[in-house]
Amino acid sequence: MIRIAAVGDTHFGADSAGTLRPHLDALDAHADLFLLAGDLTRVGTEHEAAVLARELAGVSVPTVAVLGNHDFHSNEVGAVHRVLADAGITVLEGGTRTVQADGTTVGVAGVKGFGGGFAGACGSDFGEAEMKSFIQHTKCVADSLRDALDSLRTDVRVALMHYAPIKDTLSGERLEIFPFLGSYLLGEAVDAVGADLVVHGHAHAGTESGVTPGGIHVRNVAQPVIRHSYRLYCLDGNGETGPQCADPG
Amino acid sequence: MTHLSEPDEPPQYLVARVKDALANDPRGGELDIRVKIAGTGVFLSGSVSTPARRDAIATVVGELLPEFDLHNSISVTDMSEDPAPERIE
Ligand SMILES: [Fe+2]
Ligand SMILES: [Fe+2]
Repeated sequence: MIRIAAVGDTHFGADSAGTLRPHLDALDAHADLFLLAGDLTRVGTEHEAAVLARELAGVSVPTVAVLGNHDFHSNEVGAVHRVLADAGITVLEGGTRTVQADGTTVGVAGVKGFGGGFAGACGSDFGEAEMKSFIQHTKCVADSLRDALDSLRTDVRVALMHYAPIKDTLSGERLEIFPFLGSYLLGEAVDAVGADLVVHGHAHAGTESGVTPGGIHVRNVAQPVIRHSYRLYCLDGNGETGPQCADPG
Repeated sequence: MTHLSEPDEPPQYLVARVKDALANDPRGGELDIRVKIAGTGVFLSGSVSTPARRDAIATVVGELLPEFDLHNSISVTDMSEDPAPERIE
């Protein structure tokens, strides 16, 4: 049994200190891995990243993050990345992190992702340079996600991203903004090589649970959706004895 | 201080400008607040993570649209309970 804690869209600012800390002891006791699904900060300043890094300082389980659009807003993404990395958080963009728990290896492939829309109602790599670069960025990110996932040789494989890979978990959002919330290219990349779980954020008014066209579980862990400090998902691995999927409450 | 609204400006343009201000005002950085203008009121809804964030949004909107009655229904996400686990099979 592998236990994965996850949250996205914490949108940390100077006023956020202390909002997560009361729950982190339970997280440490009941999770093997902690995933952060982007929009970690309010407007992507080094200072906001430092507030989050201090908040997470007591977490001892491996913590793996991707960044979201808010984390890019102040053009301090290099500093944000460095502050989080210095705090021991692995920040992925096309890379992987492997951890071991309960005799099971878990691999996480992470990307920010991007928008573009969903099959039948999406932008095309066509026309003006601005439109081409929009869709080409999504294609590039989706390709790196597929390659990273495909490189994992672990018992359990998790795809971590900020933008949504499917429409299911956008249910509740306005249809008009779907192309800015995610892209089917991300879901297609996951389905091409397989995974056990996809975790994303970004869609604050969306829905927690969904499934890719290929049948892979997707969870939208945007904090306004899950309405908790994090969610805890338990997946069967190879371990036979380890801890159960205990209710931390 | 700049007031956004011109006499008889269609409300949908005002909503767009308020949303833009909520994204870009240094006190904002919020893209997910729902803004509706109806009658003499501006109605805000959605959720944020701290009470300070909720108040800052109201301040920004109040400065932009002082002639409208402000109805702030933004909720602060309650994270007081630890989450229940889900087993994925
Ligand atoms: Fe967000
Ligand atoms: Fe986002």
